[in-house]
Amino acid sequence: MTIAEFASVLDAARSAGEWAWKTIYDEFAPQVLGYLRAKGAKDPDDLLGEVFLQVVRDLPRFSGDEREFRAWVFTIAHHRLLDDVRARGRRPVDSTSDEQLERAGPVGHGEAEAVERLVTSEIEEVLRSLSQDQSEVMLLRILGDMKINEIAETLGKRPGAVQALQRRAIESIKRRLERDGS
Amino acid sequence: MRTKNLEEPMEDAISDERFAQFVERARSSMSAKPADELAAGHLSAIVVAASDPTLVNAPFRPKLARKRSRRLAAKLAAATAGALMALGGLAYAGVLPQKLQDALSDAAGKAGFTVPASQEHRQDLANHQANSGSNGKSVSGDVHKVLNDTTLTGRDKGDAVSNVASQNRENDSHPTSTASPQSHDSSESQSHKDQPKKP
Repeated sequence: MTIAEFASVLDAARSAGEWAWKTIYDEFAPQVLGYLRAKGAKDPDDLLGEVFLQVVRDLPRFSGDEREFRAWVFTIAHHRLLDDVRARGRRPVDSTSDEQLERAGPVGHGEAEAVERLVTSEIEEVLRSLSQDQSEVMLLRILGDMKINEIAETLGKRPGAVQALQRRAIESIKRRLERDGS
Repeated sequence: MRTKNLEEPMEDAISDERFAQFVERARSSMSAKPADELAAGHLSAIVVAASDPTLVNAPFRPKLARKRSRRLAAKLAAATAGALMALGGLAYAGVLPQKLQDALSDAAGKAGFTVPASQEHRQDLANHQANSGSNGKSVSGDVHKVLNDTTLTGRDKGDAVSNVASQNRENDSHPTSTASPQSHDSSESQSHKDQPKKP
């Protein structure tokens, strides 16, 4: 989307234009859902809906271009995820979610999907090998296309600390990729 | 003086082909297009929220609101049940102090129990029957209809009885009918049945 196109989409969204919200949802929902899943949200689908409702609620206060909008949406997603984790911490832990079971289930999928799942699980494995902070930084960097300053603000850390986390994460990933020969 | 570039590590890393491929694969494979049904549901909610400013400005806590409402109802029921248990048969016998009896009757009615209103209501009725004299039939007949009405409970029933009794009192000043002694007796006996028994 060009800068002008995105600006017109935002204007239409502010006037409750259905097409504009569909454009925004189609453009950003897949990455946000991927982020929520990778972070182990219990019900990522439900959380995705909450994220977008907050986007609707807070849109009048937003100003910026498409990249900044993406970063802003990911900041909301991160905060909703934290709320979800805190709420879950107060409730008893229950069994594996349907979401996780569906993703783990090997039956009824085509070869392409199986290969894609393998790639995804490889990537997830690489990210899991990082510390929690490192993987958070990398996810916001890769999926949210966020800058160091934005990630620092979202995570409540100093930019220098986020930069160090990213540097260590990149080194760790590179070592892993070299070792695996991929 | 050279400005510190915070983005440098990523830019350097992306120049590494293997790492760049990893980032690209991560971006494409981890993005998960929501199922059509889910997306349709989300979009409906988004459009509704965007078009209704009151929804947009209200905090999105429907589950919490429902929980609070249920908790409040449960507390009310528990408090009423507790009060009824504590006051035992007195409330059901209708012999508690007037205000307490009326309050309990009212609360019990809201919580789905039936507890008679204060004795004053019933005393009014008895007095009225005694004073109505020749008009006794219409008084007791109308009042008993209300008393036997199972759709009314607690204070509502008391108010309805008072209203009917008041109407009949007004009619007393312009008597239009003469009641037979038999009907008066029967209504009086019924009236005694409805009177709360003193312990």
